[in-house]
Amino acid sequence: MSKASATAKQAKVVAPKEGSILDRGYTPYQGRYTPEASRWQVIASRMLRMSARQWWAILIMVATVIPLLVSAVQMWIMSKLFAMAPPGVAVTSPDTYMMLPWGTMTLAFLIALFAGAGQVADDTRAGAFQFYFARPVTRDQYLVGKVMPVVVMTMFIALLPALLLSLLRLALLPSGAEVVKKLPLVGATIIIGTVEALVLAIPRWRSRRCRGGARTCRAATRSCICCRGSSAPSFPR
Amino acid sequence: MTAATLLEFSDVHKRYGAHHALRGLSLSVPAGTVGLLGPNGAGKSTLMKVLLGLLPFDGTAAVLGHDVRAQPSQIRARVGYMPERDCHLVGMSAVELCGYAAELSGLPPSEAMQRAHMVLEFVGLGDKRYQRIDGYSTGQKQRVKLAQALVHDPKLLLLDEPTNGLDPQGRDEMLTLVKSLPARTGCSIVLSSHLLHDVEKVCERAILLHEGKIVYSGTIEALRKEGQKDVYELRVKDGEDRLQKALEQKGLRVEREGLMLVVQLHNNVLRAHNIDDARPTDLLFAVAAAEDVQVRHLAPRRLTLENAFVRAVNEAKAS
Repeated sequence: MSKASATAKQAKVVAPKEGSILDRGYTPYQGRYTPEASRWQVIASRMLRMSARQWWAILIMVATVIPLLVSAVQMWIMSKLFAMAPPGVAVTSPDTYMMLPWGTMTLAFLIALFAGAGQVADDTRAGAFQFYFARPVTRDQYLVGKVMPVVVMTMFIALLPALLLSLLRLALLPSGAEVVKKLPLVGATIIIGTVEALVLAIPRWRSRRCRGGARTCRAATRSCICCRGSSAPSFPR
Repeated sequence: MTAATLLEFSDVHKRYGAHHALRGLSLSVPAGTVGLLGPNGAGKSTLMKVLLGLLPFDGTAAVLGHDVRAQPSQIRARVGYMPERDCHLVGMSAVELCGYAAELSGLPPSEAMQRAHMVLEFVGLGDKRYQRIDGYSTGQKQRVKLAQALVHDPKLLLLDEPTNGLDPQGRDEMLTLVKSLPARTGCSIVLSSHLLHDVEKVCERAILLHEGKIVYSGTIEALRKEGQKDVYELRVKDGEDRLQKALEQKGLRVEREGLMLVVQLHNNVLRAHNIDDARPTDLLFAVAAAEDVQVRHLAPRRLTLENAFVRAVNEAKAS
């Protein structure tokens, strides 16, 4: 028998069966562990990444960016070619309030609705509470981790375009002294944008009376996860 | 509690409304492979959730030396849990899920991803790791569940019905893998199942649960021995009824299993008939000879785990 055919035969003998469980080695973990308090960040960043892949998220992001670009170009043309002051540059001007959350209210509402509504409901349906709470993750960390992506995404829609437009308005002002004078515009934008984002994001997590009795749940889940210690089951069976 | 104690619980009660799921369980279990046996509804899954601190309960319990109520995080960081029901997250691939599980258990992102790849290779899903779990077969989903429980290198694995929904070949592979885990990973295992074969194949010790109570705790070998002590199987040529009646008249407990007579020889009965304890079967031969019945087969009873389980449950019911 030739050497090549012997090798081929040996390979045939040891070839693993498709789909069978095989020992491909196991190495004990000896590395470091992250602080327990940071687990909400893991949940939040994962949720953010998962949401950002969805078609509706991409669509809403695009719908947010296009009007921003159009508005910015329009403002630049008006300022450079026709020497007109950018609209809404005065904090007290009604234009400011019209322009700050410029057309983003509906989009921010939609993203809060899409991103927020299914987060906990999906976990309930998939039995994922067992996945989360069998690990060193507290209920508070879970809830913060689920709320934060909705807040971040809503702020991206409600705050970021308004902030960029405000900065552009300041940039188009003729003198530095005038820019300093108009700086409160940025603060007003941040406050209004943040309030708008929170108003839209937080109601996704409305309170609901707990099945356990007097306490109040912070998540609108079918199975109450906030009543540990009471007589009611705190964990979906 | 010693360092080698895996689980320790005392007077643990758990109620779901009017249903009393766990009724005053008290036990200390050493490290190793432990089978949690019982019919559906016996309280196995509830006990596992209690040990993880996922359910409120009455009594005290400790896992790996940590109090379940006071230190649930320390326990969960050292324990891997494979739930009975699906627990995958919608839209994730196996490698994403395992990486996420590792990060939630405290591993930094890069290490978490490395471990996710390693454990998926380890359970035989290396080539399917980038597929979405929604499209997996039942067997593949079971393996993903095992992988996510193993990914953070736990000291104790709680496996809740790991062979659920698997075909015979898949079940065999899963059990072979689970059996090899303690030697290869250094972890202890608590395996919950209503399938005695699964526990028999994997575990050294067993805890039998019935209606929320422990009916046996100890090694599987001892359970078998306890059940078969002084019990003999007897097959004769005709005259089974006659012989059974005669043996019962002598004060022996006799049960019929088809043509087989199962006889329990008590020491006090042997002594009453002046039979040497070292030769207990002499009494059977003497009775058979007196009844003119030909003995075809006489042997000590070899109990299967099924028999032992049924016996333990019946004894618990009787008491």
